[in-house]
Order: sequence, then C-alpha cells, then structure tokens
Amino acid sequence: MTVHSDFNTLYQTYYPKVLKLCLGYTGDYAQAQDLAQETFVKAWQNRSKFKGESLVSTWLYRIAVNTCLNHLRTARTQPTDQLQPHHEQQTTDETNELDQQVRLLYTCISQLAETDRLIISLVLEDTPYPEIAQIAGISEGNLRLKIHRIKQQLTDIYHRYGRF
Amino acid sequence: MDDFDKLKQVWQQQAVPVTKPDLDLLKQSNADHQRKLERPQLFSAISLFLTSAFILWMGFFSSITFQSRLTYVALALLSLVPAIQGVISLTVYNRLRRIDVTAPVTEHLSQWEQYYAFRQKMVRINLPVYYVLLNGAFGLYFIEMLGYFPLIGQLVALSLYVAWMLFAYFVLGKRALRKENGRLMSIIDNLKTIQQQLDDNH
Repeated sequence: MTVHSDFNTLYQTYYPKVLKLCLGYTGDYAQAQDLAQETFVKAWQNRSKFKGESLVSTWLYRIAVNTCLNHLRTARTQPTDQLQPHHEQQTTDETNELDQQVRLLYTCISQLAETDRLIISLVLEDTPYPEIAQIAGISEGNLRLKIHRIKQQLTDIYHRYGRF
Repeated sequence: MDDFDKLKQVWQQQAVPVTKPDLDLLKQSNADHQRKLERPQLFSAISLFLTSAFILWMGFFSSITFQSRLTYVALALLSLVPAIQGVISLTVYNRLRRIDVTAPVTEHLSQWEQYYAFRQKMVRINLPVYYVLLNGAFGLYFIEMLGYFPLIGQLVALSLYVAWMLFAYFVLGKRALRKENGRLMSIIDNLKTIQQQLDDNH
C-alpha cells in the first residue's frame, strides 16, 4: 500500500489502530478521536515525504506519536491525574466484564509516563519491537529494557487494583 | 499465559467505535498546530514587507518632498528595519516548515527544542534591537517634522512620543517579554522531560 495512491485504504486500515494508540495516550475518547484525525490530516499533508524507506505503519505511527506528544505541549494537559475521571465518566454505562477490564487497563496506563503510555500501547497492539524502535528513534536494546520495565510497572499497577 | 499477555488480550478484544470519516474534509483540513504557528509568521512577514515598500515609496517615489537629507536617511532606515524584521519572520516560518512530524520521535522533539531555543533568542535579542533601531529612525524623522511646529508643540509632541515609547518598552514590552520567555521556558522544560523519558531506563 502506498500513501499516495490509496489514502482511503490507509485510513480504513489504520484508523482503528491509531485511535487506540491515541486512546492509550489520552484515555479520553473525544480527545483521542481529535488526535487520530489530526494524525491523518498530517499524513495527507506530508504524503510526499513518504519515500518507502520504512513501512507505512511505522511512518503513520511516528506521526501519531509526535502528534500526541505535541498535544501535551500545546494543550497543556497533564493527563496522568485527569484521565481516570474522564474515562470513567464516558464509560459509566458500560457494565460488562470486558468493558470494566478495558476501563481499568486505561486507568493503569494513564499512570505511566507520557512516552511509556505510547510505547506500551504499541506493544499491546503487537507492533514488532524493531518497528517501535524506529518510531521512537531509539536503539532496539534501549527499547527492550524500557519495555521490560514498563510491562513490569503496568502489571504492578494492575495488581494494585486487585486484578488477575 | 503471563499477566502481561492477559492485559494484551483485554486490549485486543476491546471494541473501539470508529466513526466514518469525511475524507474530503480531512484532506482539506489545514488546522493542525504547526500550521497555526506558521501562518502568523507568514502574515507578519508579508505585512512588514508591505510596510517597508510603502515607506520606501512615500520617501523616494511619491510627490512628497522633504527638506533635510537626514529625513531621507530616516525614511530609508524606517523602510529597512521592517524589511529586515520581515526576513527574520520568514526565517522563523521556514524553520517551522522544516519541522518534520514524520521524523522519529527523538528527532522530532529535538527539532521543536531547537525551534523554541531560537524563539527564545529572538525574544531576548531581536525584539529589543528591532525596537531600538525603529525608534532611532523615528527620532531622525522627527527632527525635520518637529521643525514645522512651534516650540511648545515640539515639546508636547516629543514628550508624548518619548513617554509612550518608554512606557511601551519598559512596562508593556518587558511584561510581555517576561511572559513569553516564561512560556518558552516551560515548553522547553516539557520537551526535555519527554526526551528524558525516552533516554532513561529507570
């Protein structure tokens, strides 16, 4: 798939993944939707910069991660403390077990550092490590250490809520 | 299955509602953050170039004539200073255009950091220099202009002008610069924190 020829397919294929990444970062569905939309606006505006040196997904995730991090800087949101109420509010009507687990998972992710949230969202999405390293611009060795630590941190937080 | 795999399963099983996008609207959208920063710089550059051209025309190509050569020097300066400032605004615009949202995260963050460091330098150096040069040129221009007024008129006009300029520079300007500098410092600190999160493993 190329960015130039088939933007519609690109959108259909990656929008849900990008939205989940943004949701992992913000914990707020409306904000995540805005960020996902902005990601695709930027992808469209910068489509000439895609030279096929990386996978389309790597290129798109880079834009998404950069957009999320820019959002933190420009909107001056400090999500860590604010995520939980937002997310709980939006999902109060959802009562089944899976929804509750998903809600709790977002609450736990929201307690991680900003970049850790993005990295773990990519890991949870089964994005290969070399691809995540390329997205972040850090070495694979460094990334593996980081992921090991974040996984540990996330499961610890989840345990604190008495789950598993 | 380890604990993390269970979390992964939860993540992957979640149903994310996806609204149908309006792709045409999306492709036309021009409202991202970077563009919002770029546009004022471009408009500022255009306005400054137009101001410069107007002063140049008024001083050297219109039917208005001045007695003193000093006034022509003043008009040349009044035209040159906004033109230089226009070039600087264009430089800022180009710097913003070069920030690559498709670059790896660490590189992208470093591009923003360099941009804000440049803005900080501008706030500290460029704006005060611009202000001093522009007022110096106005001072030269006033030498002839005030000559057409009686002494009392000259004193009143000069006092009002100097008072306004001092107030604008030392009160309004300093306050605005302090605020802008604080904003830039906070952005740079924020960028450094994010970069540190990527570098750090502990």
